[in-house]
Amino acid sequence: MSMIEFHDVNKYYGKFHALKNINLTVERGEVVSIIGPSGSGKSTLLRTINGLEHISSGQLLVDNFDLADAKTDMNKIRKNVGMVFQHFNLYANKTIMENITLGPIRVLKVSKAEAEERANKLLGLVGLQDQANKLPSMLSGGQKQRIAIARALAMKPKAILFDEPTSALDPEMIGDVLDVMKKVADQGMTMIVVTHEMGFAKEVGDRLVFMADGEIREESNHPKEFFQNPQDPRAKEFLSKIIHAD
Amino acid sequence: MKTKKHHLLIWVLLCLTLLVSSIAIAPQQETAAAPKTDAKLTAIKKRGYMVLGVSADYPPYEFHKTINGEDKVVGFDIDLARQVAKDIGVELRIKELGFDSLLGSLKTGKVDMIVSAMTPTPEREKEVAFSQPYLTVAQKVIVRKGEENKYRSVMAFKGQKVGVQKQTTQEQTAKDELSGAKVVSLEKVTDLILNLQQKKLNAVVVEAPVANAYVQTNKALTLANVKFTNADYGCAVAVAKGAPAYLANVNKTIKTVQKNGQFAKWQKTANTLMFSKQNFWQAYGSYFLKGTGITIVLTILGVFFGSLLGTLLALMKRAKNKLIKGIAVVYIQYFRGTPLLVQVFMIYFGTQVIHLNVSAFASAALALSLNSGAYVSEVIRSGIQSVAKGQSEAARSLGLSSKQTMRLVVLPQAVKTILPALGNEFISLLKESAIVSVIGVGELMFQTSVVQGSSFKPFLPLVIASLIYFALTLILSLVLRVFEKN
Ligand SMILES: Nc1ncnc2c1ncn2[C@@H]1O[C@H](COP(=O)(O)OP(=O)(O)OP(=O)(O)O)[C@@H](O)[C@H]1O
Ligand SMILES: [Mg+2]
Repeated sequence: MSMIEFHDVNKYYGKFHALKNINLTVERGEVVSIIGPSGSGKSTLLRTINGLEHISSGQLLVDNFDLADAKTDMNKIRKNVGMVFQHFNLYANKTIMENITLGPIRVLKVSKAEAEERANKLLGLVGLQDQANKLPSMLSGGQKQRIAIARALAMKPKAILFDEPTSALDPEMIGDVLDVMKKVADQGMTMIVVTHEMGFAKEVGDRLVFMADGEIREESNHPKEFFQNPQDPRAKEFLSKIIHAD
Repeated sequence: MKTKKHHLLIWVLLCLTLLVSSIAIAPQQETAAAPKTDAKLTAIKKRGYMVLGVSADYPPYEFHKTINGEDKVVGFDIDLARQVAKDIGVELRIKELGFDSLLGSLKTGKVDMIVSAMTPTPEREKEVAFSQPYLTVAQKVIVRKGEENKYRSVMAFKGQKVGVQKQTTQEQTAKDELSGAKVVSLEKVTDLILNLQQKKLNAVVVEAPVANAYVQTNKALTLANVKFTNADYGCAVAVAKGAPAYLANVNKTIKTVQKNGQFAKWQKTANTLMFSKQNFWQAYGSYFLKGTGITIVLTILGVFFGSLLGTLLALMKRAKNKLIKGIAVVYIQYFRGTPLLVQVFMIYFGTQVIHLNVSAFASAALALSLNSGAYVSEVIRSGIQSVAKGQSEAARSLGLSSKQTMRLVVLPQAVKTILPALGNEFISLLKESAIVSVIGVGELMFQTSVVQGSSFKPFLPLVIASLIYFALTLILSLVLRVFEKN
């Protein structure tokens, strides 16, 4: 009973073929990194998993629910699959505490006191206990992203999707966020992480997926080996560029 | 006579039937042997007062005048009513109503009589009983002093410009009887007189009481000695049906004041009052005050209902259902794409076409609300769009339903953009509301034109109105700025 299964999934934006024949299985507790050049469909792939984008054909199972099935309650899936965005997307009008507790109170229907107690624990986990009453605009990017992770965790999800969680951050803040993600991974969370942080993909990721032009071009159960010896020509090209850039 | 633009038909009918009715009905009332009392008369006496229904905007019959700093309703109709009450032995109370609602109020017993320059017509006689006429109204031709000898017969007006009030008996009379005259129809008598003085018109046909009042007070004008053959009509007091003793009392009073010359004195007093010089503010301040009040109320109503409607439309426009969405799109396009003036007319007259009696005020409020709704919906739509897409994606990805997302995350943020824009809508509606004066709603612009007419000052009232509008919008924008800061 895998957490997520793609079977021959295709996605079109009008005539544009954004995802081509995707086959991918993510087991429970697994951390999968997705890398690839810009425009290769990484975000699109991620967003199909919690229904922010609909697939055009094929089968997509999330926690054993068929997303193409009209009877599937998308809200139920979403509360089990959290998401962390490149630009944080904290609710601008709500305090940090409210950002974290909104979902638990409104969707999981837990009491406010209980939600806040848990939120405080999560704030501890991400190292931001003293920020509870601030507005998002008062935090740095790195702090915002750690709050976004806490917000996702507050729903006690079965999996969390990360879409380039560190790309919008100043370099000195990336480490804090990656540390939090590592902690989450160590707790056994299923994670799919679109990232440009090769270090994270190597050290934390159980598996690595390389995408280009809407296709999965290479999949590796040993990320370290992949980085040393990629098979796909596009992957070789991509890695050489990244290494030169660094 | 009191005229309403849309009552043209009634007036034509009236002209045709007046001779018949005044001959046929008056003697009946004279000869009817009235009992000593009836239920109505007894009730009035027991109560100790009687209520006069009047539409006090028709000098010299009935009008407002500030006397010793007090706003009073005066005119010979009022004097007559007071005499009727006195003769019955009770006090008179005055209830001001729109002319259109007078008959209804009499029938439902809200007032005990109407003395309001009302002419008996067959339609009205179906509803209420009329006294004998207390005033027979002829039509007169006013000309400039010194030119009266030029106009000694109806034939003398050939090729001359003759002014009349739009859609009145006079208009008909001038066309029918002043052969060859170029008849110019204007809205207001005061405009006619101004035009006559400035030689833009050569003669003006108005009814006798009004004509006499002008000639009496304006040395530059005089009456031409012209007789019309077919244009007299009468004014009578209206009371509820089925009260013969009461009606007989009224008739007796009328007879007495006509015989002893009292009525003529009242007429003279009214004419003098009508033109008496007064401090501008004392005379007309209340008009601006009242107009400003109505403008504010109309604007508030328009913005309130416009906001409700606008929210509904904005939601409809986001709906998945194509029909619901289509309705909203067409509605918004129509109300933003046609002049408010046209919408006001459409609603005011359109409701009458489908036999709905909607008052001018209600029509105006409705038109402003419907119009504002279209604009507010766009304000709300762009407010919602101004909230970054990531905000709703984040909420949806945490399992909030689309309704929860809208209510808890998007709308609270959209409000920040919506409120200031809504404030601007408020300001523009305040200004736009001037348009509804065309259907006779007594808001600021309407009152301004009333003052323009009756003060003979065409410019000053406009300046005052513009300053009031300016002050209102200024205050509003200051208030809004305070709100925005918070
Ligand atoms: N809503 C949309 N409508 C049309 N085309 C889209 C839409 N969203 C994405 N695309 C296209 O689909 C392709 C894949 O986009 P996607 O955002 O998944 O790429 P990505 O791999 O995440 O890129 P990046 O690294 O820049 O984030 C791109 O060519 C993009 O232009
Ligand atoms: Mg992307």
